[in-house]
Amino acid sequence: MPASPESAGQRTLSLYLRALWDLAPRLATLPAGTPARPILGIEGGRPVLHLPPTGDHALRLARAAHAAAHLSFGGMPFERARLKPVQRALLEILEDARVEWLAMQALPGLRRLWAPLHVADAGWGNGAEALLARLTHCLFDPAHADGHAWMARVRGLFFTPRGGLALTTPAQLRDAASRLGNDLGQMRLNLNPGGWQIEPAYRDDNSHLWTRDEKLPPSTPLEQERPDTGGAGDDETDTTYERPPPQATPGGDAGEASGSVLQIESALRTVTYPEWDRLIGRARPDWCTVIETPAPRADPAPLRAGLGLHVARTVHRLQAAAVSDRRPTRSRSKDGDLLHTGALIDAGIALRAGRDPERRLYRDSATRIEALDVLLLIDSSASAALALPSGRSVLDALREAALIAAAALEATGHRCTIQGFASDTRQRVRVQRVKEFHEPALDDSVLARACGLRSAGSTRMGAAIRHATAQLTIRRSLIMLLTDGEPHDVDIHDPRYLPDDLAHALAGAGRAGVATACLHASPDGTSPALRRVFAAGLYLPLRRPDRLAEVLCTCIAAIGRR
Amino acid sequence: MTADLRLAEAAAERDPLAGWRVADEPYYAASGDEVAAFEAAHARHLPVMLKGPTGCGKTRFVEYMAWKLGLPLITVACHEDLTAGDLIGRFLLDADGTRWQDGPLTRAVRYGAICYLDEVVEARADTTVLIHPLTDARRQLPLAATGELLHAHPDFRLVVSWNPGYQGLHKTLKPSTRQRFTALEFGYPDVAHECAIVMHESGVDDATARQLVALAERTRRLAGDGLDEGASTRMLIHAGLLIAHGLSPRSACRQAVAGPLTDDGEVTAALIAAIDAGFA
Repeated sequence: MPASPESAGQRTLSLYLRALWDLAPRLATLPAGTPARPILGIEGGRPVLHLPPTGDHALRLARAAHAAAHLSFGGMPFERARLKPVQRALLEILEDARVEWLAMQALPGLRRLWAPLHVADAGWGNGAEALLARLTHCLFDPAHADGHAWMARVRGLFFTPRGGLALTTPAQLRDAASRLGNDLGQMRLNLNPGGWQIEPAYRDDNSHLWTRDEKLPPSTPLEQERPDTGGAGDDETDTTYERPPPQATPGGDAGEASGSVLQIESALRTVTYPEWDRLIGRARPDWCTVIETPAPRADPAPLRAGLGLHVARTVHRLQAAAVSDRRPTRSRSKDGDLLHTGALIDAGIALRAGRDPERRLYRDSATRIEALDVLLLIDSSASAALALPSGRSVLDALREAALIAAAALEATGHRCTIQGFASDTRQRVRVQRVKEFHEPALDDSVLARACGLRSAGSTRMGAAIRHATAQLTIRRSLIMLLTDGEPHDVDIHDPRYLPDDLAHALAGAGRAGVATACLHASPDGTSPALRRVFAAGLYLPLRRPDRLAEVLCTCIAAIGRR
Repeated sequence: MTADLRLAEAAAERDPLAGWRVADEPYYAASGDEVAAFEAAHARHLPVMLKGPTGCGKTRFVEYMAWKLGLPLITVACHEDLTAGDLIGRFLLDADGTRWQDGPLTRAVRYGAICYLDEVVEARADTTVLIHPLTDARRQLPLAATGELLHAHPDFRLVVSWNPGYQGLHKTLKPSTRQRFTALEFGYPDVAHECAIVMHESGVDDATARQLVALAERTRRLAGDGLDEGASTRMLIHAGLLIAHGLSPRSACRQAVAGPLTDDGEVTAALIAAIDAGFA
């Protein structure tokens, strides 16, 4: 489930809106082919900005900044009553110009963003639509030259002589729009309300400026073009692209044991954890249920056969990386805390003999890896059943690497536990315990449980990380996630929901003093979602799972040295 | 030995910490009662911990207080390879044999100075326990290598700083260490103070300083969501210096703010757009 470029662009937009205006509207994408105007609405008290799927970076910023100007400087919606379509169009233009003028007072650089999109001039002609577009340009840029006398009249109404805003209250705006509409009537210009769209295209359709009026017929011609942001129609528009937040998960709140792809024979304990919902910007409390079980046992013989040699080699590698504490060694060094007695005697002799003494006078010391508690968390979801070129499955490779790493860690003074996880909706995140801290890694019962891991279900990583964090103490500890996939579960259709939750789970682990890292074994290459949420250097993609154990140990050794 | 050298050596004997004295008043704009709080801790010989985000003025505050109290200031930038010997001292070999060389902490303890351990969490835990006997009523520093038990000079003070917002892997202070300190919380200065600081330190005018401070506030909204921390006062000063040197404000902020804050492409795009929006 790769992150789409679209959602990547939306992340920039939401950071942009947060930084400049402290706004966090929900961003949604309109279906292709609808009128290419953004739609701004409010759903459940939270603004929602529906954006056309087209447009370059600058146009997307221009749309977002305009919507933010409405949200920051706009007021209550206007009543439609007694306004003709042309008067409503004028009121929209005046209100757009007003909020943009205020926004540019605070952020003068916005002019650079919007100005290139204002292109209407005398060349567009003198029809009603053209005059409205020219007026929009004239109000946006008071210095823009447009010879039409009506433009000068509107500017005289809109701006004070010193260039400030003359129209500041809703009543003044409504009154001005009404009078200017009459002007157009006297010029015998008619606006075709059905064919009129606000210009330039970065501006939203302004449907949010109007109250819903139940007394009016269901739609006036001016409204026909607009999806209504206040009603149910909007939800339909939305669900095409983004499912609603996961209240609507199949199965409801009661966990459904029957029919789940995840077998649970004997639950050791059941724990609930919060989950981050990016759409509401909050953690939903007690949202995911983690069910902990011992891993079932299976015949360990085939696994044991391959392990011995690997373990010896990996232990050696870890030891080489670890060396010792800053305990002084026998060798000599140019730097250090303690003088090397032998070196001193040699230097004394050299000085008396008139020779230059050797410069390495101190006892050498080397960094030690402090003992780590490592929790190896194996992704045992369905995708891990994928066969590698060697004929083994990804899960086989993950499990073998975990056992070798566990044995090597123990041989070098660390402690290690191994658990597998998979999920089937938020009600059923299964964690299978393969190896406890106190059990030797190559113990028969550990090997049997490791072989009992079967691939099934999905990959709800956030809940698994929270469960792992809760088991570790603040002693130096590390959660190493071994996976071939990305955050995914069957009840979540928003591709950013689970990665965002994982990011929050990792931040929580960091606050608890637990380090996290991810080894991603996938022949398909890297995962942008995982790369984004793990700290730099702690996400390690690996195309060839046969080197898994080796890379895992090198990585743990490197983390331990930090 | 020349006369000059002899003079210098005599001066060093009279005042071994001459090099660590703060001669001129450092610029510091207090934003709360931190000066009085530090003076109270000083009067009662209490060690002080300065907590706050990077670049908010902790180090400058210590320099200012050292100047105000007339104490020498010995600063140690802590790092993960800082050993006990780096703080306490070690034996060196010269023509006559071995000679003990005080480390910065020992020097402050022996002759009376503020010893400032900057970013103390970066130091290894076994190094930080060295300061324990100095931070309680004993005020002693045992030097195992020379067998000396050093009683702290009456002017010795210990100050440490750290940034609770950013914690690397397993970087935190042990309770047994942190509970020995009194703590002063530092945040970014309020708008008026921050403008004054940026103007004073970089030489930009009031309007530019206000725009820079507004930009910093915008980036600080992204702390925890896209950024680890928002732009620091120090970054604004850097941007201001570039502007004062002739760079356009947008280029200066890209160089001094957006670039150093993040490597993430999407966050960078948002920061650059926010910079562009803020400057005409």
